[in-house]
Amino acid sequence: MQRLASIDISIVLLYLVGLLIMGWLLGKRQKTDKDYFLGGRKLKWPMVGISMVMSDIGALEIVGIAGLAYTSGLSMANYDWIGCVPAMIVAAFVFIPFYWRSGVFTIPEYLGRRYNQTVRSLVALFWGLFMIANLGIFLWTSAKTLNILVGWPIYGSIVATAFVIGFYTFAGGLRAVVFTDTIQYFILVLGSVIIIVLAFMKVGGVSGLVSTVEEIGGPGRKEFFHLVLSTETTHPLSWSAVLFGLAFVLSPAYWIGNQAIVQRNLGTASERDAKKSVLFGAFLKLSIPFLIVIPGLVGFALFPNLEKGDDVYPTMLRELLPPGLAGLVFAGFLAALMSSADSYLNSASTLWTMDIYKKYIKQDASGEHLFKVGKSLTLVFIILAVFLAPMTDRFPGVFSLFITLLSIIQGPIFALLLLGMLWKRANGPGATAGLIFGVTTSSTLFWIKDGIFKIEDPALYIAWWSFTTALVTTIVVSLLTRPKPVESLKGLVYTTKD
Amino acid sequence: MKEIIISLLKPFADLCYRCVNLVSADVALFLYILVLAAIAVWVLTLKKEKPERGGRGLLVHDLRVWAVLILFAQAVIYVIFR
Repeated sequence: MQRLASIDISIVLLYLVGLLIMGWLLGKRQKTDKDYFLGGRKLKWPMVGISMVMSDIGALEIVGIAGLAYTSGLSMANYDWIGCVPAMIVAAFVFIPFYWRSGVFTIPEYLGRRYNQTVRSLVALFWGLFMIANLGIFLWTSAKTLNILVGWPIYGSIVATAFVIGFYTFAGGLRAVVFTDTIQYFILVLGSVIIIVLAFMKVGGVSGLVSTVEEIGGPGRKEFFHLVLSTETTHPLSWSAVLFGLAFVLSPAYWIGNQAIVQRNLGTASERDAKKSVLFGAFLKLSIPFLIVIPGLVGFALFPNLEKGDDVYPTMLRELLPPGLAGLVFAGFLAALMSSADSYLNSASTLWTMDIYKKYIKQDASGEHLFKVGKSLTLVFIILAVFLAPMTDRFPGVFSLFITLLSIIQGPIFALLLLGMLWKRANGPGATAGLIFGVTTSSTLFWIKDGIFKIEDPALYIAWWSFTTALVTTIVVSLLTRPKPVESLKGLVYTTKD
Repeated sequence: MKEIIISLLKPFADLCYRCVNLVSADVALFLYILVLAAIAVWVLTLKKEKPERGGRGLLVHDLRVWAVLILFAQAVIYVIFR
């Protein structure tokens, strides 16, 4: 194992202490739930745009996407390109303005107003549990990488990263999350650029990369530099999976229905700022594959015999970087880890406070009381995540696990959001039936996937079919039951927005 | 139970697989570009997205223009890296 040099450790410590101080300073004037969960609705749109992107790029993305690019090639960039940009554009002009105008704190809150409280509670419970589990995954990924890179004990790393994330999120809420995400973005970009430049210098530039892959990869790597793959491929990202599962369902579901992403848009000062923040995020997304997919491609040329794709990023950090730069790039990696984990921690706390505690335990709670509850839950969830983290090791691919969990819940929830916002006739019984049937469909398809799909990881196809069944069920049951009064839909449906 | 569900769904799954298999990677690329172009056209049909107050009416202040530029850049990337 390689140890970090003193200068590297100094850089990392300086960065971590800076985050703690920033969280503490930003949290000093906060008093209410609006301050803590929505940054007082005073967040600047460029920072929110950056924060959206950073919340999406965690250590999961860096380790997982680079790892899958190592084994499968450029097609992994689909996750950040067609798997983000079109959905973000649609979100900017249709969905985000609606959420902002309605003044909600959470997506389930919107669904509750639009449909009924059963739908709100089911969706809040899905997301609330998913976010806590996901926090555990984030912590495990970072600890594993720290172990490979510097030999730090896994459980010690989990506790240390949980402490830093927990402290500044606890102290400063969404405002601290967005501010630290912005700083972390620049550190991540700097770190990624350094590692890409050094890797390309070693492999001999783009032509060296292509010739090396052709030489060592053989016919099995003929798809390595292509984005659009035929359906005959055994790769999970064939064109049909990307278009139907990713671009049409999972991506819009993520950018429109993921509380951890949307929450920061609700904290902007105006509806126009909310739109600008999403468009800025979409613009930044165009560059992200160059930062996280390319290292995986070059990593294959440099280290073709790694046991697992997920090892490529830590290996590149360990093998390519001299003292000083290692600390900086490593800080960039930590930045990515924390920027996702802090968002999920803050949003889990928001969901449980607003959709469970306020709804079922204390309906007349004041803003000050909810602020205190939110802070307490932040502490509880980070401690819970520490205990959940080791479970991630039972699954072979960290990123696959993330996608699997998302596939089960995101398709059906997106169907509800889409119909709820665009179709007046959709009602509560329809949405409840659609949600239950959609989740049942995705769970069943995961159970029998080996018997009907031709690829090993059909998560994107499953997302498509769970979305479709939820959509059809909601339409059919809505048509068979009594419609909601039109006056109760004002401001909640696109055609009744005025 | 598992086998029964598989036997019921398998013919439909095979039919879907055969249908998407008829589409080549080049046609799929065309579909991708078509989706991006359709969103760009839809964005342009929306009302102008100029600032609420003090807007000078410049094209760069219209958020729709930025959206279309981002979509165009995305399409170019797909054509290059197809």
